[in-house]
Amino acid sequence: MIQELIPVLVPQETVNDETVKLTAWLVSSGDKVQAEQLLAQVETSKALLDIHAPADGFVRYEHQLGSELAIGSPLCYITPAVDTPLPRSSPVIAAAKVRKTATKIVAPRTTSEKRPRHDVGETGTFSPRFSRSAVRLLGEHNLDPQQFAHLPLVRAQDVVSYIQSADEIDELVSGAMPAGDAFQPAFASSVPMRWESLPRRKLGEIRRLWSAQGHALASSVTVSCPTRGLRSLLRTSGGVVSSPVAFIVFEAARLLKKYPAFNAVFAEGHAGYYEEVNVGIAIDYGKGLLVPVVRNADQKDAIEIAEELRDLMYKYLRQELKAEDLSGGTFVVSDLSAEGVVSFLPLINQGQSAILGIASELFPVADAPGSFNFILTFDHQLAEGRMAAQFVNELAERLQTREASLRSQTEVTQEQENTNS
Amino acid sequence: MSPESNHHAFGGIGTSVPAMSRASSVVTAAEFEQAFLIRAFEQKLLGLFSEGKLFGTVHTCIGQEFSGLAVCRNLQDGDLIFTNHRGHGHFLARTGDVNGLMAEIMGRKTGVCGGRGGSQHICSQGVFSNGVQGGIVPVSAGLALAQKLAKRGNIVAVFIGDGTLGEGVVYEAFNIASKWELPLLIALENNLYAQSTAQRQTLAGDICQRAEAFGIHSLMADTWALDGLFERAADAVEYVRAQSKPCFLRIDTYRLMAHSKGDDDRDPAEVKRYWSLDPLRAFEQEYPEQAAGFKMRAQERVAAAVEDAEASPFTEAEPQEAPANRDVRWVPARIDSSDRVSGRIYQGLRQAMESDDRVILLGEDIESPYGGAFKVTKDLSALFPGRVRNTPISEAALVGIGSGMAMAGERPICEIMFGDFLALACDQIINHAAKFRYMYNGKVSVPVVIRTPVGGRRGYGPTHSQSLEKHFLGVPGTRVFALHHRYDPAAFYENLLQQIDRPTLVLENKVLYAKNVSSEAPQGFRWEHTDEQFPCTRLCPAASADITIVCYGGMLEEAEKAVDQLFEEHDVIAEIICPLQLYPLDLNPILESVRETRKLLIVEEGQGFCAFGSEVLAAIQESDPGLLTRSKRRSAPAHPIPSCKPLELDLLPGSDAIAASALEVVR
Repeated sequence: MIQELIPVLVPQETVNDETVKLTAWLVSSGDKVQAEQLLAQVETSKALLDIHAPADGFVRYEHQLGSELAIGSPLCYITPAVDTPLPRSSPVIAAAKVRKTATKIVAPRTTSEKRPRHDVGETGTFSPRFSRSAVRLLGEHNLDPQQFAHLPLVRAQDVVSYIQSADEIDELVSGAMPAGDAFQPAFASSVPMRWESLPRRKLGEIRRLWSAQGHALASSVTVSCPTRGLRSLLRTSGGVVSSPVAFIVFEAARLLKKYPAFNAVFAEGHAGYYEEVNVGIAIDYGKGLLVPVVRNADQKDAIEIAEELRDLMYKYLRQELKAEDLSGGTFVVSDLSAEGVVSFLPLINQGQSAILGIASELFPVADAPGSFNFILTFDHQLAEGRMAAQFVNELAERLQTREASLRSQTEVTQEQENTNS
Repeated sequence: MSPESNHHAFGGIGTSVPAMSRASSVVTAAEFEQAFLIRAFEQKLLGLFSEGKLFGTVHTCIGQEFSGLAVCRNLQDGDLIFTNHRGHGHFLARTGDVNGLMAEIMGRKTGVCGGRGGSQHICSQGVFSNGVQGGIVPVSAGLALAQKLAKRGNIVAVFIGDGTLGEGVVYEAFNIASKWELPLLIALENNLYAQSTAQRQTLAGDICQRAEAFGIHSLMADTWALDGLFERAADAVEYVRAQSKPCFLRIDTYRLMAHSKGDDDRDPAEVKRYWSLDPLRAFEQEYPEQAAGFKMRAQERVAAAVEDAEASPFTEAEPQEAPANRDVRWVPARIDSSDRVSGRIYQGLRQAMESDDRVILLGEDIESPYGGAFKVTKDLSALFPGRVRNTPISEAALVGIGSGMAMAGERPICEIMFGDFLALACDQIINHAAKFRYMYNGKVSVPVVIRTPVGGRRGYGPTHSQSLEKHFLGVPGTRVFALHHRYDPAAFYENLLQQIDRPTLVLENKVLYAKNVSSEAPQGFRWEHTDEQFPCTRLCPAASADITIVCYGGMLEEAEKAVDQLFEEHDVIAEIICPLQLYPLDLNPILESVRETRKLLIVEEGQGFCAFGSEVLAAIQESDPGLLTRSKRRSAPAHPIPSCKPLELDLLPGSDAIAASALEVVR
């Protein structure tokens, strides 16, 4: 029996959904339940999801059928006693166990059981090798190579069987119904509506994120970083580094050495710490959301990182990113600062423990200092909110220091230019 | 080398008998008694043969007894004799071991070679014999070279017959013995017949002039003028010992009995005439009482030897060397060198020469500055003066000399310039080097290395490109290795020279000479070795394999490319198993892999009929019937290797062909 209460959270299923609808309770509040027992069904915009008990205990809830529940909010609690007091609101996020009856959303299935032939410890980490046809399929289905990180040699059949098992997830996602005209949604509404099938690209992304969410206990902290306008400062300074992202990657990579819990993965009760700091950058400029990787970012200076980011962006736009560009990430930076976003919830990628979101700069009062938000989503299995807050605060301080030094340099330069003219 | 000391007296018998001055002023009564003993011994053999108590056949020297006695009288402790199929007389003259020889001929455990060697394959007390014509001369030259290097004043005497003059290897050895001034006495017993063929049919020119043409001092004697025979033999031995040069002693004689049994087509009148010249008959006529005593004692001794022999059990089969009965253990390959294969072979040879001064290199064009056709021996002749020897173009002789040196405790490494030329040394490898340890009952070992470049893809054509190893695989008592670039050849040669105990053939692929030795593997694969001295190598995929590819030597590079191609283009994961040691073959690493894949492709560059692949396939089938679901061999077609390189490349299995064959197996 558990010692403390466990919140069962409303799972994130698609990035489009902010809320889900509670469609069925299969237990009554106060019932004694067993781990894996089916508790409830919720409906996302696309699917019905089963919610299972994460542990033995007593299920406790207040939500009524038909309620719209925010993603990440507690659906119910599993408590050690029938009368354990319930919190008013919980900062701790536990992942609900989401399962389709026959399908587990975990690692992709492969044609044959792979024997671990090489002792990875001896030779270092494998990055998967993809056969030519596997690369083609990855491209066609917009799959993240990281999905195959556990396979050293990835062939077409591995990708196909991944897609097949993923299709079962698609069924889950899409309510087990064919897409298009034949689609008959389980979801019913009194309001007239039309259904469109999602592009495979999107489904791939969903799968990718789902498989990470299934493993992590995601929590997040947000820290505000004062600025007098770092973006414009960099844009106008004419330096190689024209966007804050390179500086953020640079500083974050160094901090990750100090905070290894965010450059890690939780698996089977163990913490796996990556020996390299490979920072992925979430890019979405209309050609799909992809996450190319700056390898060994902790060993590169800001200019190198800026140049590499530019190369990756160029490849992204020309759709020339290769499997190796997209694999091996250990941490991700997601930059929505150009999108006028105050805050958002970045989703941890598979095989990782944290993701850093960068929100837009805000200047509430004209010509006065403003700020922007850093959001760190992290796996609570490896760290706590306090550590996350320390990490992000330190990052914010470093950014401020850097901005100050850049600004003084720029001002000196401008003064010189003024003097010269 | 047998440590046995040599005895040339007949233990106790005849020493008190006075010299027969009237029959001979030189030959002692004791020597006559020895001659009677030899004759009695062989007459008994003929009797035993008739009784069905002997195996094979019997070659007697009846009528020729004194040639061995004459030579052996002058030999010293440490001198060696190599004799031939008709060697009982020489052996008895040198050792007097009637019982040991009788038991040996009768196949008994108490024989001098435990009954293994029989009549023609004897080794005891510094006497060796082999039944193949001619090849013993270069082996004797090798023993003589070792004697010379040991600087103890010892010599080697080799006995051949006039029939042996038809063997070319004899002249190769004459040439080298003369050029290198080897202390080798060549005693040629000229009995006018090669088995049943008269010399007038087969011999052109002059016998002694043959040796003289090579600058070898020659002497003549016969077994009818015994004083002259013993004197000439003494002169010859003295010359060889004092001058440290070869000497050719022609002894005219006559075999009074058939070559072996029932094959005497000589004119009976001729035979009768020679019987009338028989020195033992003459002695009997002159000294009937003494002769009767000699004969009686001889017959008693021989009868006792037969009785002794018959009391001893027959020899038994040598226990087979059991293959390593343990689990295959793989360790990741780590090669630090970035040198080429040829450079690593050089390094291995150099290290071996540095750490063991018994290591001596023999071969054609191997001295610096040329340093071998493939430059493997580079400057070794300058670094190790006298230990790297250019030989004439005499593959058989240089291998035979290597074998002889190895028997004497040296560690010779013979280079055959092209593997095709192994054919020239075949008799030396198969009928001599490979046989000595067994037929001499383990009294000798022949730790000789024969290394040779093999394989095609260089446009050298039909006679300089072959992979002939299948003809040399499966010769008991030998080892065959095929080097490759995924196991350090330097480590190989160092290990080999430290523990070599038998004739060892090392195949070095020509194309690989220029490849870098490394353990760099295609992504997703890893090179591994078994944790053995001569490891099997595998290219191990990180995921389970669909097919096992077995190859060796130069094919490894092609197979490697094919594996990469199979994954990249065909989504097939293949595992390569590449044994370093082809014979004796440890099947376990192959079996282990095939148990997982159940599909097998065997690749070899040589032609496939009765080849390595056939053997592996058969062995797997016997070991685990039904294990293989699909299998295939990919080898060169039954076609000579063309000189035209594009056609050659088309015919020899390359990476594309290997990949295509693998797909046939997998799909």
